[in-house]
Order: sequence, then C-alpha cells, then structure tokens
Amino acid sequence: MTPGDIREEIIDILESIAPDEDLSELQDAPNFRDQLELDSMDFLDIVMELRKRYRIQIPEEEYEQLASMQSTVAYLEPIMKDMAKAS
Amino acid sequence: MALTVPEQDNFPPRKGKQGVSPPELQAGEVSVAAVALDAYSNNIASAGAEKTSPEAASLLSDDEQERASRFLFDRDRRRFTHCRAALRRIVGAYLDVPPQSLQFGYQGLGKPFVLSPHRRKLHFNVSHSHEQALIAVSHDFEIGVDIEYLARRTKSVLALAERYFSEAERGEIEAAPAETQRRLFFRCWTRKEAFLKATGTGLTFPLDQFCVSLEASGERLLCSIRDDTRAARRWSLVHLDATPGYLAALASEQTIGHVRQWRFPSSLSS
Repeated sequence: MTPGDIREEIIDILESIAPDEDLSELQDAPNFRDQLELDSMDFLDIVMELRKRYRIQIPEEEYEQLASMQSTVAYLEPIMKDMAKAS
Repeated sequence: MALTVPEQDNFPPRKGKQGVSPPELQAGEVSVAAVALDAYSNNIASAGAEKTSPEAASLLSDDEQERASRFLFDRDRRRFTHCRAALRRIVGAYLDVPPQSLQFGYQGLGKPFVLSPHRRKLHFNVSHSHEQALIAVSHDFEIGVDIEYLARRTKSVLALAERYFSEAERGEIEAAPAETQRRLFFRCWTRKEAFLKATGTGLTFPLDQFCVSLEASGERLLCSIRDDTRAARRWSLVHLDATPGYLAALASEQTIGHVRQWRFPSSLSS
C-alpha cells in the first residue's frame, strides 16, 4: 500500500466510527483531536479496526504516533507497504 | 464520605465577576459541576442565530479561540467553547479572579493546569461526552474525572473489553445478561479513564494492568494496580451520579473526603 492508500484507509476507518461526518476537509498535519471530537474510546476503536482489517498490533507505548494523519501514515507506512488494500 | 447532589436552584448564579457561585470546598473535598454544553444552542429562539454564545467565546484566550476554530464541525467548536467558558467561570470563582484572566498550561499529554500564580492552589480535570461535561475541582490533590454517554457511537464494546480490560473485568461483563453488558462496560470504562486521567498517563498505561470494581456504586472502586491491592487502597475511585443516559467516575490518589456535585446554571452554560 502506498502512503495515499494508507491515508484512504484511515479515512475509511474514521468514517466507520463517525458515519455522519464529512471528513473531506480533514487536514493531515494537525492532530485528529484538534479537528474532530475524538476521544480515547474512538481512538481505541481505530486501533481495533486496524487490527481487524490488517492484523496490525500497535503497542500502547506507540499510540502517540497516531495523533495526526501525517504521523499515522508515517508510522504505518513501513508496516503496510507490502500489504494489499483490504476490500 | 458522602455525595451531595444539589439541584441547580440551590446554587443560583451570582452576578459577580465570575457569574457563578460554586460550593465552598473544605480540605479533602472535591467539587464536580455538571455542565449542559448544548443548553445555549437549545434555548435560543430564532433559527439561523449564532449557536455559540458570544459571551462564552469572549471568555476564551486567543489560543483557545484559535483551537476552537480548528474543529471541522460547528457542533464540536460550540461544545469546546461552552466547556472552556464554564471551566474558566468555575476556576475563576474558586480563585476569585475574572475568568478571562486565567492562563492555562498543558502537561505532556495535554492535561491542562492553572499556570498563573494565585493565592490558593487549585487542581481541576474536565471530561465531556456528547452534550454533557463534568468539571472537577480540588484545592488539595490531583484528580481525574470521566463521563460517558451510554448511547455513544462505539458499537463494539465487547470487542474493546476483550482486547483491553483485565481478565476479571472481562469475565464479569461477559457473564452478565446481554442487556446489562453495555452498562457494565461503561461503568468499567469511566472508572479506568478517571484513574488514568488522575495519573496523567493516558492510554500509555495499559488498561489491563489495573483492575476496577464493577459494583453499581462505591468509593474504593480501584481493586489493584499491577496486581498490587495495597497500592490500590491508597486511591479513591468514586462512582458519580450523572445525568440520565450517562455514567461517570472520579479518581484521586489521595482520600477524597466529600464530593460536592452540583449543576452549572444552564443560563451560564454559555
């Protein structure tokens, strides 16, 4: 998966958590929590969804890497580069 | 320890420089204000009117207003603004300073604290979910508070419990009748989150490394920290009475002598 594919996948996961929200204006650099009302439980939902879709296990001490879209894609890119996009 | 839950009318707004009169706090006591974040937008009459109170927005610092402006959706911007304005009114009242004069700093994981020097020390913690916020204040010790909306969007609560809760907590939730599992999950979650917020560690402290009681109420609801029951006994972890449809908890590493729960006047939830 390319960084663009990973970004699309994260948007898809966010939309599954908040289906009524239009995320087209979400910016990559600022933290998710500065742009959306995402709390700890939503955050764990994202981690769970990554595990469900791609069997990615993220240790607690690395959760801070998922603060923004930019940092999330950078963190996941080496892990997901050889993976195919889930259908 | 006892809880008091006065009705809003027991604390009529005082039109002083803070505009609010929270309960007096004695040593070891904690004030917990329930704030209805959408009260202003629900009360304004005309459609199309500004749904964020201009008076609330005027209490925020430049960086808070800038932070509010970064939210993608009006609803989130409005709730942040009303919550922060209520926090400023309450903390300002306890410190006897104008709300807009307060300066907040932020710890590493984003927990805010009062930055500017004041006569009295003051600790606070804020939680909000959907349209309710809780603002907890203590003069004596660090506190953590959490509130959750039971009908929130999280669907897979059992999967979260399976992955993140301790074995005992998981077992109790899974063994419960299906219709009570969600409530038990949120009881567990609010207690864990309140504890983590009191420690200031956030989710970097793995949720399965400490255990909470799922009893309906109580004041010593922390069972163990990394299997150490003695360490847990130092903590107060208290079930709070919340607005129907919500669950809430309060935690401190010190002994909480009394929790004074009160409702922030809806006329000032703005």
